[in-house]
Amino acid sequence: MFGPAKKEAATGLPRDCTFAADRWQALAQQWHPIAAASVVSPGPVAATLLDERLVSWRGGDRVSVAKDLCIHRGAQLSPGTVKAGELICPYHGFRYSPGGACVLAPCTGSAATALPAKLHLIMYGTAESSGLVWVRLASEGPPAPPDLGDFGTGAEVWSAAWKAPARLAVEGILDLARAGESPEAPGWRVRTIGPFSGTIDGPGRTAFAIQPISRTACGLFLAGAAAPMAGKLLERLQPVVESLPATDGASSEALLAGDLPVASYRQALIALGLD
Amino acid sequence: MPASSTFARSDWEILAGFWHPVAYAEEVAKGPVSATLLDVELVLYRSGGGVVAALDRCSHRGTKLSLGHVTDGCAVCPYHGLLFGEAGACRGRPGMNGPLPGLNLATQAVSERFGIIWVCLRPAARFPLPDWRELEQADIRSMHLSDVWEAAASRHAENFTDLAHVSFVHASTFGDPAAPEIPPYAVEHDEQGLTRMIRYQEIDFDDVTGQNLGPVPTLYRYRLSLPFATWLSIEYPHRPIRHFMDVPSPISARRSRIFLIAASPDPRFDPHAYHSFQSIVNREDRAVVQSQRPEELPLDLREEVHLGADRFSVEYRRRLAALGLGSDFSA
Repeated sequence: MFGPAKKEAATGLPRDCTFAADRWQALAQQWHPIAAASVVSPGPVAATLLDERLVSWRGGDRVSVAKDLCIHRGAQLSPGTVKAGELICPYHGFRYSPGGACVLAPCTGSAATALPAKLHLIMYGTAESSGLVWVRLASEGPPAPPDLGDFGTGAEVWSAAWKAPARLAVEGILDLARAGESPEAPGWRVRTIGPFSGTIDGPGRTAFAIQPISRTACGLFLAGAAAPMAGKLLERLQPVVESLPATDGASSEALLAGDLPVASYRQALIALGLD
Repeated sequence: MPASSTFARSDWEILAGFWHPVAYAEEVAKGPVSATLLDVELVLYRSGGGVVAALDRCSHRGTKLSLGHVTDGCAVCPYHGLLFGEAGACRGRPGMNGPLPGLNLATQAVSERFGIIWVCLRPAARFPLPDWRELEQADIRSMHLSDVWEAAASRHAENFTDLAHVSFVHASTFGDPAAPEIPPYAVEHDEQGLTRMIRYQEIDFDDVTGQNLGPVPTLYRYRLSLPFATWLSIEYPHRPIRHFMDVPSPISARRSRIFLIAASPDPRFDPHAYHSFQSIVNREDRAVVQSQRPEELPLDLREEVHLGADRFSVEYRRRLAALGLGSDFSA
């Protein structure tokens, strides 16, 4: 009902975080996709990444991503509007620049009124590549998202939301095209590049990138001309992956001889502190 | 405090000492009616001349009395037919035994006024009921609205007393997008709460035809009774005064039942049409307040940012903190 009259220092973790704290901090240092770039035109678009509610919008030619929270009264910004590149809060009409600074509070009656510097959105590192919008929640980490190839601005993007951890979605893709032998996906070659992203070489080149929404939910993006076809195969895989037990660690499951790609993927995740 | 309480312990203890609405009087024709206040499940029924409010639990085997029925002014337990009458007294079973005082219900302080049943979970309330005497004038016409918001009562109360959102959240009803400025205003304190008076330009509608009559200058007077009840009167240049009595009932820490009464001595005030209009306004507010994070109203003033228009909200948060609320954040 009430927040504390004297608030303690914040932990930086989202409220109701579903990840263990150290796992969340390691994941927050990585770049993750949150939307197809073409969808943010101009937005606002809501997304959840690692249990954090985000809002993205396009101010001019650049995409901005902020915590989906107006710091004035805590309202969600994503039901608002974008005008002239500025994000407008639906509650009191406060306007925010692409950099996140409040440039107008209409209740003050004048654009010239000096506003407190604290009236600033919480902004995140943002990049556009492979037809996707990428976010890094932590201030430290790799300078750019994994390079999955350039598909041009008009890249075809397929997306879906699964009730499964990001790791299991990646393993499903690895399994589907195991060394190109799968009758489902003949001749496919899958290569992981980022922790939850990579490329599928088959009929055309497809990039895949998984958005860890929470510990038990993820978003899938495929980019490239063959994305709709690969997406159809993934739709058949979805119920299988969603039925898997959502274990916290990757090491407890049995691995067979043909599971080498999955095994080496798990080793890579463990090395990054992500599993 | 119930074991499954969603409140910090000290917040629950303090809030339990105030009157809260639990039902409109007309909903308790006989009863039994269930209601939840501060995570406490209650049963309401009429017996003798008054309303009984008790824990919704038969003292025999713990059954919910609200699943039973009321006959001849007695709540009848659905399990073994035990009868409970005035003041929750157990009268045994029909034709079998007499009063069983050991099984009397755990009754709570109850009051019926302004068409609302109020309950206080302590024997004596810290403040009297809010003073809404305008509602009891002979020539008054009124309507009331009910809703449940997935939001803290404190967030609801603060929204009801906020004017700066009206031009935006209510841009398609009574807000004027062209006049968003909130001029400086004063907040007065009294023992039971806060008051303020402010001139405000709103968009007027004909209640019956729904016709937009354009901007009108009005005078808003607020009187907030701690912790959550607000009386608002609006004076218009062209028609009689309107009163609004709003009080959210804290079902749990992040869920509230909204009680809103609008009343006017205006013979043209159409309760039915005005209910439709206020239902739209209610939905506009609900969407934005349910989106607020944190769900709890921050009583540390450094947590959000305050401008001049937020003076009332700042003073409200101070008064809540002065009651001792927000002193423990373990929940």
